[in-house]
Amino acid sequence: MSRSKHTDPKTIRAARRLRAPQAARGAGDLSRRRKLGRNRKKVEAIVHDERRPGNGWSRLRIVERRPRNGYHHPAGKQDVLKMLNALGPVAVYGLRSVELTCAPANAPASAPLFGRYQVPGRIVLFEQPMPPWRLPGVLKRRAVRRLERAGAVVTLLSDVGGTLVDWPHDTLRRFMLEDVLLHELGHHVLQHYKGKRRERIARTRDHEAFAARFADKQRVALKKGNCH
Amino acid sequence: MNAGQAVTLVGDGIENSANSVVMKHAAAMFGAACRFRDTKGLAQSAASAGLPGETFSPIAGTELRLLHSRIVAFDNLPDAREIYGFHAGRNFAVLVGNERRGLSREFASLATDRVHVPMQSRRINCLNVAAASAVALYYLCAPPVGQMAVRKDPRSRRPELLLLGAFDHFELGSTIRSAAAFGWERAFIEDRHRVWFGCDRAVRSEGRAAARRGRNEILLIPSSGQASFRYPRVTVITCRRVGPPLHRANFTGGPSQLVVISDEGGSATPEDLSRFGGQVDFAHLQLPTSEFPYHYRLVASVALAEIARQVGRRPTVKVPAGPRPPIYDSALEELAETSGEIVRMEDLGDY
Repeated sequence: MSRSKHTDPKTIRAARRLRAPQAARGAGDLSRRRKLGRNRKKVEAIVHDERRPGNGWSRLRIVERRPRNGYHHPAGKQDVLKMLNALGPVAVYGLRSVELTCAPANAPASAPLFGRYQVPGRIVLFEQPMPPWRLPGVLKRRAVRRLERAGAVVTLLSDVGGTLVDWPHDTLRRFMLEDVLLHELGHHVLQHYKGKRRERIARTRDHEAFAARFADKQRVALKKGNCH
Repeated sequence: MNAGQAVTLVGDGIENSANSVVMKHAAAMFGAACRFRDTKGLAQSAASAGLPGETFSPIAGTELRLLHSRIVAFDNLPDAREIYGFHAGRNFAVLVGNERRGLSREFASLATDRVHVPMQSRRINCLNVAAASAVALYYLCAPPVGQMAVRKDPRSRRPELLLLGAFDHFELGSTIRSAAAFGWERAFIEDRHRVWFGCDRAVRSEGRAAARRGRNEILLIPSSGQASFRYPRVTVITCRRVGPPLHRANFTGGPSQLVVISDEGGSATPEDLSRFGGQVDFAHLQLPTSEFPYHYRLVASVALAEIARQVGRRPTVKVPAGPRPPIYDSALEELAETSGEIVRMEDLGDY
């Protein structure tokens, strides 16, 4: 094994770069450490102690813009911060901003838009209408399952061709954090290897699939309490 | 042209003998010599067109190089500079190319400088070759002028244009072509000699062809000789030494200014200028000689080029370097179609 930095797993690389974003490539090189005869366990212990929010965190901006009348941001700035803290460096590394904003002017009126990931490193969480939502048309089964899994009460009004979606308690907040935010972070994690370049690393279908898998995996890890 | 200047206008592969004659006259306007590289049967075409007396003095590349150290190619070649603000010196040759194909490779390779006149129209991207020769000679021989202005909204500075009393349909057609190429979207035509409106079919089609009317989208508004324009400011462009030279007059008055270019080639009739507007100014074309064969298209094209320089163009838009960054939206899947009701044909008929 070469023990090259280039083959580091994402979690290790993200933590290292967050800790010292300006460090030279040769800093902390394993081969040098071997030459100096250092004890590897001792070095790792030092590294472990330094795992705290460093300069990389200070770069991240969380912006909250005032929603329009009749709309609100289900998850606030502090909720987003808590979620990012729980996920650890893998999600935060390279992330430039998380913005809570109004819906874009060209958003479709028929189906709500929850979030957006814009390469490189910009996540947007859109304002949502106050529940209950009356949606024109009948939702597809897959969409119904997605909402119900998050705790929504979905009533299909087949006779009038509409759907009623209610969000009891803080289910909408949890949906925005544990579904939408994690999904967008999944897009971001897949783009890690492209750095700042605005390139598509995978075709849209694969990108979406990876983001969905990442969100599922992190949701399970959050429940167990052993996130990276 | 000043004393001591030696200028040669060279037409490379010109096909149309009428254009060649007007090119010679354009050179005469500026005291320049006019030579041709005849590769397209110009002499034969002149004979067949009824111009047997015309001689087109030939020139070859080697002779041209011996005569002039500076050779300016006037064509929209790649990396060509704008002619506005270009200083050619006192001894130079100007090369203008074939009407359709432009300069030949042989002559283009001889050029020490490459210049072009910026076109404002997307559809008309070149001038008549004789008109282009006059514009080239004016800016290369005349006192130096500044570069083309750059403005946020040049349209608001563009004056209205009146083409007054043209005697010849070719001349008027070529002038209309120049006006469109320099960015005018409309022009008034006072057609006293019936060369544009209400003329016979042959004159009409020849005039339209000269104006490149198939691509030329300029709106031509007919106006009568008694029409009262009432513009606050009117500038009349003339070849007589009246008023300031063209490059010192201000043509950026926008829609409140009317520029009148009248055809001074025929018998001059007294004109009541007060009908155009309140304040009437003159501006003259600064030419080295007062005796030259007059062509409306030459004078008008030079005037239009100068107005276009003063009116200016928009700043170049910065095009984003790369494609748009990828965006991934998270939204509810599209709503299923509203469930319908099955209706039988008989029920529909009863309904």
